[in-house]
Amino acid sequence: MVKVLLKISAIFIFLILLSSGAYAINLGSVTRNSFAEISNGESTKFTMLFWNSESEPYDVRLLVKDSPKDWIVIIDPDEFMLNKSIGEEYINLPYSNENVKAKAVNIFVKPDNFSKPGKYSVTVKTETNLNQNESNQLSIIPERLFTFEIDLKGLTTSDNIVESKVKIPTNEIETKNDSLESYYLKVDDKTDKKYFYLAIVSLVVIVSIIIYKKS
Amino acid sequence: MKIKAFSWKAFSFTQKIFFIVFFIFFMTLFSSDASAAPIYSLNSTNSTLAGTFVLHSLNWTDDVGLSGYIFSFDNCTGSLVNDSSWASFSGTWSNVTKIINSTVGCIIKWCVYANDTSDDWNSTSCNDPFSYTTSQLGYLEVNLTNPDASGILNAIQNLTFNINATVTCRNGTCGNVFGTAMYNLSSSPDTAISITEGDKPFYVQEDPANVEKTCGILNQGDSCQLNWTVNATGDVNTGWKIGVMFNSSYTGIQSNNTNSATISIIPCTQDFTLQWNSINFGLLNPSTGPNSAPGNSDNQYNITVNSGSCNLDFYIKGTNLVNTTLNSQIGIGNLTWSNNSNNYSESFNLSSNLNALKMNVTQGVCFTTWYWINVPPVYSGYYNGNIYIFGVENGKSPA
Repeated sequence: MVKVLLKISAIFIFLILLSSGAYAINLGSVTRNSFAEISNGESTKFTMLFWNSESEPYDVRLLVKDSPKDWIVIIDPDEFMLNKSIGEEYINLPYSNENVKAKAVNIFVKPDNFSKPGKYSVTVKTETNLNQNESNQLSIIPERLFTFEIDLKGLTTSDNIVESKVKIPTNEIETKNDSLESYYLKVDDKTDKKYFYLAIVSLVVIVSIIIYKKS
Repeated sequence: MKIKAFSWKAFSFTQKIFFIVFFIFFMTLFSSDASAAPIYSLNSTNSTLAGTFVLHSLNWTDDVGLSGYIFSFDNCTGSLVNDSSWASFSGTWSNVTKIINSTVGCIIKWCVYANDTSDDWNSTSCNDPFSYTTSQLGYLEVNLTNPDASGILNAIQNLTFNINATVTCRNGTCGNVFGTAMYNLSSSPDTAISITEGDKPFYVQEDPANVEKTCGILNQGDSCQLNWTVNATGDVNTGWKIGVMFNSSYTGIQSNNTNSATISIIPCTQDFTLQWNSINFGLLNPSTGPNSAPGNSDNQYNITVNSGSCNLDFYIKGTNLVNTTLNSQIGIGNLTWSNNSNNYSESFNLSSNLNALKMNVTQGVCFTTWYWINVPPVYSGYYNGNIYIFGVENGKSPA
């Protein structure tokens, strides 16, 4: 009762003050590809671009909102600052006099080896942090969701990495592919070694049986 | 009738003075040059390349009528020599072509005597003759200034982008220099961009459309920038190399290609701008409302779908306003919004779930939103929270 009275007796509240002055927030994005058809054991890559044509920079964080169970989803990079001068690429915007820098983000998706063929989707959420240090304000935040669809086909004989069908030759993307490839090569190496050890053990057993029988 | 003989003595002194002044005035008037000599301007030469034909030009005007001229030429000999023949004007230009000395670095001088139909002559150009130094063949230094050759330029399909390139004539004269915008699929650009509207993957979208543009005559140290407005009509997700090839009217100068830039053609984007970043409701009393956001009256809370964007659907949601010190909250439902007018009765309650804010907004459209808050009975203090605005491609789910 006292608490209720206290609440009611509160005369003033200071609500969401101290905004740092209004400035515009621009969040631009485009997905180069949002659909991939792969076979079980393969992986794929989606590429997105982000830009901010306004003068105020802000932080962007990408996280996987939804993906099939046990699928590997790697976002590279998953956190970065966005302003008109940051990014490896450029985008030509009709409303801007100059080309704006664009940040490329790659999303690598590796389905679980035991996933059944079918259509799956991965959803990535974009969160923005406007770096507004003032603690008392009602912030306006642009957000975005991206859904990538994967049509998973049956098993293949080899574990190839399927490139997205972007024909842009960039060293960076190639470098990142290399790193991803090397990751899967390591997996392949381990698999190969298992077979190798299995073969050695089998050989030893067979030789032992032959020696035993002859003796 | 008897006519008296003219007698100067018959006039008074005043009349004599008057006659004298009158006489001097008319003498001055009639003796003044009724036909001024021709006047020249716009002196030019079309080259300085040693051992080649060079055109020497002056433009002339005259108040009576141009008659002819005599060209005087010092071909690195140290003295001006008049042409043997007087040439009549055909038009207003005196154009004389001479093979200049083949020695690089010597000084050529020239001037023109011209007369009009009153036979008034202008020889002032020969008092201080025009001159230039013979030069060798230069080379073309080229640079692609836009797009940046070091990075990929993403061009939205069916929209234009600019190609800018500069050329500088170095180490001699370069003659007439031309630039051609080129493209290719993967290696160095080797195909001129089309000027036919709709052609793929690019066409020059100008009126008139020219893929080859001229810099005019470039002498040593002269620079020129050429620009093209190009529409990216190619298929989405295709990449192309573009650049500019410069060449000269002098066959001895090799054509030179700029570095090539990579163009990636992308689909329409998701691109919008929120014209504000926060709402400041100011000092409010509890148990009051609706309190209008201060920017409502000025229509400050605008959302723009930028050019090049796909049609977008907008959704809105929010979080409770929180004072962490007091552990007190104002439910997000106390905030309302409208996309229709600055009228509270038309507003909707904000929610922690996404609600449609505006659907199918086309590129270039700016729409206004308005906000209100009803303050419940809560502790005094500062409260903060977030409003999230989602923009998704028309027809796609926001969640």
